[in-house]
Amino acid sequence: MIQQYKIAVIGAGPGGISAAAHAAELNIPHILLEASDDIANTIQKYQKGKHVMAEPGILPLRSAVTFAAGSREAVLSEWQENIKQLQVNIRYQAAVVAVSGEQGAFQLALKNGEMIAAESIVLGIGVQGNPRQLTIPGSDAEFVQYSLDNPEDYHHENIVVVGAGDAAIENALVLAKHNNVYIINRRDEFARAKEGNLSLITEALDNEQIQCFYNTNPVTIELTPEQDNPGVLVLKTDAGDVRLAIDRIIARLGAIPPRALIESFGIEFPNKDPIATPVLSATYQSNVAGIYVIGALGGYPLIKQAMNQGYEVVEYILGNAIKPADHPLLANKFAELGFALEVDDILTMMQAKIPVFAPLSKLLFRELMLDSQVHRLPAGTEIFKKNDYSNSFYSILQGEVDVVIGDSVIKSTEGNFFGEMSLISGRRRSATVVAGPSCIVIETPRRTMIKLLNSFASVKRVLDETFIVRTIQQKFAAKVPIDELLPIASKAKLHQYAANEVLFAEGDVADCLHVIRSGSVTVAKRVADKNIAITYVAANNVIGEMGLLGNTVRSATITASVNTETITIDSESFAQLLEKSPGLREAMQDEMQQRHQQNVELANDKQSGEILSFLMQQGIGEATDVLLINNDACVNCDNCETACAVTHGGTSRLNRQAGPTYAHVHVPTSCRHCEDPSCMKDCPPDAIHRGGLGGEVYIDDSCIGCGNCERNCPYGVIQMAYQKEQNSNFWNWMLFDAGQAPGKNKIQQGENIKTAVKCDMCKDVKGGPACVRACPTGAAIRISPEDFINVINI
Amino acid sequence: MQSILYYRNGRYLKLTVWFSLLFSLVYIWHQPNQPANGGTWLGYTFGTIATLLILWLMYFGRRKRNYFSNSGSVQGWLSAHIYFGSGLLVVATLHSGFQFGVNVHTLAYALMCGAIVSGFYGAWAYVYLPLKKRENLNMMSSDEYFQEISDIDRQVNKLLGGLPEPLVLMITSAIEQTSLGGNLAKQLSAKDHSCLMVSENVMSNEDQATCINMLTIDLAKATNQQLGSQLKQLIDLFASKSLALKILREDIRINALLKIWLFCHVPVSFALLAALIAHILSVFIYW
Repeated sequence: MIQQYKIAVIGAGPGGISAAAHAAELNIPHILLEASDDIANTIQKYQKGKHVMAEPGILPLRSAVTFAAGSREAVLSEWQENIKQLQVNIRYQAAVVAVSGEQGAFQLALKNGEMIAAESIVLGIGVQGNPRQLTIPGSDAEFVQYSLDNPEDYHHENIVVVGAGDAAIENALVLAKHNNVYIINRRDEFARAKEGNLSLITEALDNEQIQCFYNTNPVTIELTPEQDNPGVLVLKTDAGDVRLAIDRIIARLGAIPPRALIESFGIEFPNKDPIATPVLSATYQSNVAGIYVIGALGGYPLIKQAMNQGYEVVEYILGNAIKPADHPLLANKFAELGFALEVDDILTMMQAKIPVFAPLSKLLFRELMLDSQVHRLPAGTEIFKKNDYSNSFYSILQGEVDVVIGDSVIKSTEGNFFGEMSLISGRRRSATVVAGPSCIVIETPRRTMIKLLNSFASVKRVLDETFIVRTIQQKFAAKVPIDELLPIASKAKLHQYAANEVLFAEGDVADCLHVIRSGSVTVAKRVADKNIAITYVAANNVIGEMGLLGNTVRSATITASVNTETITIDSESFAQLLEKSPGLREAMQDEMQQRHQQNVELANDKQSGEILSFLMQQGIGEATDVLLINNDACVNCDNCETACAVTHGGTSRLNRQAGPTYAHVHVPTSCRHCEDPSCMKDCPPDAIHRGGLGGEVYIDDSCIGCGNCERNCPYGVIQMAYQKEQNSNFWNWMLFDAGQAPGKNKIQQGENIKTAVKCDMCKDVKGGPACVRACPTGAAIRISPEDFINVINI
Repeated sequence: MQSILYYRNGRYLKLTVWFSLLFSLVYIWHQPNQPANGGTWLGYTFGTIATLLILWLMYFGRRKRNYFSNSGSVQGWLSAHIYFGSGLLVVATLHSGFQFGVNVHTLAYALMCGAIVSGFYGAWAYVYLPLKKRENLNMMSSDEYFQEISDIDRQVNKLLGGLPEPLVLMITSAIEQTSLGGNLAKQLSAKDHSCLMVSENVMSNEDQATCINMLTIDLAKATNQQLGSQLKQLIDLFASKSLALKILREDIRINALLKIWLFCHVPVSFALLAALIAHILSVFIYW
């Protein structure tokens, strides 16, 4: 006889447990089906003792199950306890293989052949069970695998591990004991790996236990059954194609939703993108009535969100229109607007009024608004100033704003957005924006917007188009209305260049100009058969217009110094712009003449070029403010480090001696305040911020010590450090040898976890960077890349 | 670049020169009815100025460590410290009225001269040695040389396979007994104290020369092509290592020179302070 339940929950993760527990609490007939032997599979796979976080901190927990940040073991045993106490009907080793029927009468087929009947289904299976696959020709070969159960099964094989994350590194290391292992890294370093894994893999590579192909992509897998090895993997490397005879490929490329299974239940996805999540209603219901999706599979990877959804989904199934847990937060946020509307109505109104947010589902927009701020501004308020370093994104809900570029003012009205230029380039604001009468704007943080841009092609397209037309207006035609520029903008193109890729070479025919949208480039000239770097151009500048104005060939070679995006405008469009803007030609010609002169001087100075190339190799092309040391003046006193430690709680954020040197220029290990900081990309409590006028990237006190930023920083300038005690008085130390020397603070006793520390450009220290002010010989300087030429000639 | 000596166009140099000239002129103009000494009104004036200067100069040790201070930059303070310190020599000499003897007053004067002269050396070291250091390191950092040496050692170890055992022992001992740095005398002399073992005898391996020499002897005797090429590679590696070690030794020597003078300058300054107190007290007691 088939067992009958009101709710069947599939997957005993945080969301599933919470849903089943709430059902148990309400005495609703339910079953929690778990494919494996234990609860919370993903968390079980965390390393032993890992600290589980309870983010986002502002969101209250609403669940029958308890949860607070703590060790993995504590969290799991707490949940087990809860399950027992609430008498949750959980069944292990109960993988669901098929779902049929409809709302009120679903039939779930289990792997062991058993059938279960349920009125509603809650799907909380997460994404970790479904690894991302290789999609190259031949990847269906049986020797391609996505997990490694027992490394002892393989001996004396040629094994290729694809991927550069922790899983890939761990697999490669363990296999290298008995096999010949290659690891394929798409990038030029293992930026995503944990520090421990990074040092292990580096050691293994140094000792030639493992061979790594950097900047390499797999292209095809050829089957060679008649030979010793069953296949050949063809790789595309910087140095051309490489063919490896192999026995096995292990691809560790992360996880994506188990789409085929979910689609077999009848659930639809919005597009073909493998990371896409199913379309859901505001009550987490999928397009199949009666099947609800919660947690990571629905696009909510955080534990607390999933648990709240588990609770709410049971209420929704029972027909209770409860308000989501975040309701009071939003109500509070909207209170100052004074709208006589419910939260949901305000959200609907916002989405209707601001077209760029229209493609978002209600749930996603809600989440976006939780991160965003709403401002009702008196007319005349400066929202941001030109050259500010803020980079949030603004949309106008009501009223209008004045965008002041130089001496011209452009009005932007309801439904429009602004601030996208700094959002994309990571550089200073290019205009001042002032609020008009009865103005309400929504300010969305950069992190939230970047996530949105990455998941919504349509939002990105709108932003890109606007970016192009506004760039053209700002750079070449401030007085020409947007409408007239649209035809030109539609012909402009976006280009992406990898680091070291050439935009154009000296002697090429000049057919377009580039506006650098993000990243930076170096300009090099050929002198006596050698390319000598002569200067550096940062984002938000124009290059290649010299060739267009003079109608000649390129006078220099332009190379991307980091990943760079540019907008190109062809010569025909540029001619139109010159026509529309009287005076533009003369202004550009003047600048061009100056630049020609400068180029000649710089090209004759070979050492400058070499130093510039050296700095670019150190990734300083993406820096906005970097500490350099002039070795011709440095006396090794380390007063800079002590100054840093003393002004920052006893831990120096710079390492003077470490780091590369070329000629007299030394690049110590210290934050460069990148234009698009890698450290900010994955900070769970969102503790890393970009400051105002200084543009400093800093970490606030909400750091939880997860170490993501330390791992993500390509330059190794973030360290994990214990809180230290305050130091004793200087004179006590000096005269009576009491306490610690300046900068040698003791580590605080008691509860003390390591948190991330890095240079904050002494934002809280009066007088500016202590390292520079404390240098007795003036060897330490802080500089922004635009001024590199000055440094080189010091 | 702004060197500490030309800080702000030599602002403190100019100030010092002007004041020294002014004080000297006043000294010449002043005709007391006793021989010029510290007891005239001008003598007391110079003495007070010199005392305040000494206190201010010594306060530099505090200012340098006052990392929250916003009174100028440490670079500016150092520039002023150097020039005003030099100026002290003029003021204090004028204060003495060129009267010297075997007493606590002249002791204070001598200690002051000691502090100033060691300071002169320090200023020279701070300006000149970094240039010398860079010239020696030649485009690379000392870390990179250390890295190079450990790379060389690793490569040497890889090449040992198949070599006769006495040779392997000699080479391993050469790696193990390579010496760098050490006590102050060793740091300053930059002399190579490396050794190696040849059939249980310890021999000097200065500049890796003994090791290279032994390898060339074996190379000359080698008949096997494989062994010959192995030995050649080893000789090349030890030659590169010798060069890297030499550069590092010189680097260590320069680093020591950059630091050592402070161990004289600071204690002498404190001794001067003590002598100065004795000088002032004795003057007032025996007035």
